[in-house]
Amino acid sequence: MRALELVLCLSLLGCAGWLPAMTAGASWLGTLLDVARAGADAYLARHPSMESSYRIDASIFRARKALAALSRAVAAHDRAQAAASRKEALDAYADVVAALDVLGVSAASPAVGGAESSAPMPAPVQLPPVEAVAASLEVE
Amino acid sequence: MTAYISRPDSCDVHPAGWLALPSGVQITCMPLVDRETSLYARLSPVQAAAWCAARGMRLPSAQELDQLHVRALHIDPVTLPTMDMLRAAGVPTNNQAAIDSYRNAHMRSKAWCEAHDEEVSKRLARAKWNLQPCANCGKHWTTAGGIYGWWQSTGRRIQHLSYAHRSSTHTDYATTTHAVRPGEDTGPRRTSLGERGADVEAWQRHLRANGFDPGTIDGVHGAKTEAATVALAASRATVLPSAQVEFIEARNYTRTSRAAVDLVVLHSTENPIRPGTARNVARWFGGPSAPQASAHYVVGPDEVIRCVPEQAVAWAAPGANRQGIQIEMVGQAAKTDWARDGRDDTAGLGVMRRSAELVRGICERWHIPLERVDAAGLVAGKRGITTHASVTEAFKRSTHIDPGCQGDARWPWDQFLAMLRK
Repeated sequence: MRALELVLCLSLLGCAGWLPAMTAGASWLGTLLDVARAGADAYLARHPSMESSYRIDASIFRARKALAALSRAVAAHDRAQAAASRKEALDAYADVVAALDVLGVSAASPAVGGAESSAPMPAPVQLPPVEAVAASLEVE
Repeated sequence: MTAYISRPDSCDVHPAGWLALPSGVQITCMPLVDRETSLYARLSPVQAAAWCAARGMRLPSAQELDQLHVRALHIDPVTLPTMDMLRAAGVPTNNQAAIDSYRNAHMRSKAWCEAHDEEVSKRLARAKWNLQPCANCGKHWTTAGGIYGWWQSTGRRIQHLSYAHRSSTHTDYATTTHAVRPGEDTGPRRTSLGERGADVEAWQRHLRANGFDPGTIDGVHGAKTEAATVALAASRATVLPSAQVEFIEARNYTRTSRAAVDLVVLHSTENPIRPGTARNVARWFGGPSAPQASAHYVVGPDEVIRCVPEQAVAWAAPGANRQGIQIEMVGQAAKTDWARDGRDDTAGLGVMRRSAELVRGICERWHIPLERVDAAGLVAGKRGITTHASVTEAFKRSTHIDPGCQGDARWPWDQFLAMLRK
């Protein structure tokens, strides 16, 4: 859907200059959330934890919600709403990065306790810093 | 048409019970129900708030409903009227004004509430619902008197955080109520022998309210108050025999019938110690998002839940699954003080005491020695009681170090074994 929006946006004559960059940035952020989700799933498969699952689910859920709002604002060519949604999306992404760091998912460091499964050991999840994502969503 | 509103005194918490939120408060897994009609309770915002307040509860905030939503089994919201209802009522299905008129005339009727709840039941059954939290069984009153709910895949959500444009007696077929209660025991501070003052008086009233006689309520913690305090503590430490422990079946384990068990393996769930957590972990093991892991028992500060039959194999500690019975104790390896009694979420003595009672029964049933087995003992094939940390050290097939960190440094083995052998 994001790719479609990008194509549509680029094909529109008179399309505002900020839209393609914002759309591409949003698309990238969506991909990063997919990477975060997959990494977290691999980690939690080996180290299941109700608390960690909850925190990760909640942070990714918030980020996706913000991203959806951003996509809607871009589709509506609503620059003010896009700026507000951009801020929320970046805050939410920062939450995701922090959650993965705190819970040991980023470094694939094993959980301390709880039931442990025989799933493969997870690999580290490397996400770009918030600043890099923010730069990709610059509107000026 | 008469608007249908529940009588508040016939409303109750749904049997699905409560879910602990990260803040420590608990929220109802399902909307309140009306005992008289077997429908979800339809209360106005004023009634709903009053119902909660009278029971030491409150309405949830929009944020708390969001947190419930994240953890819940999702079903699609039920939107009325259906095409069948329109046809049956002779309303032209291509005339929006006529549909709106029909809807406004009937949306508060009991018949629509029944139609809504019946359809919710069908959707729950299709989703193989088993008393876990569920989202979209209505939209709900919030603290601000607003209404919140029905999150759809399209992103649309009903959210009128202020509901001033409706009357304070408004309900409709999909308007339901969740409640929030404190998650921790908010009783008075437990006082000690020899203490005097208002705290002691409050503690004496608490003892009496719980059925233990502290003597005269005089603000003096003497022998009678101490005896009642000890009796209260003992009553809370009692664990039901295995046959009476509630069973919430885990989704993932090896369904077999073992003839022998060699080990009891102790774990910590890595949750703060709070009432209701054992049940939540058990529901998680058995719920739609269950992990590829399980334990035979989950022990909390308030209850023990069995999740896997003892004859079957739970998936908790690679290397010691086949020969072990796995006990998940609510607590945190690096934070819980297992030897300390108290009301805070790092005091683990109550959980350890319950676990000891449980483990003693298991060892009797399976003729397992009441002895610690360390990593070397595991390698040598000894039978007894061990920890996930020892299993990790012995077999190198797992990585966790619970319930007392590496080398069981924070697990009070002497005290635990003394409890077992008492």
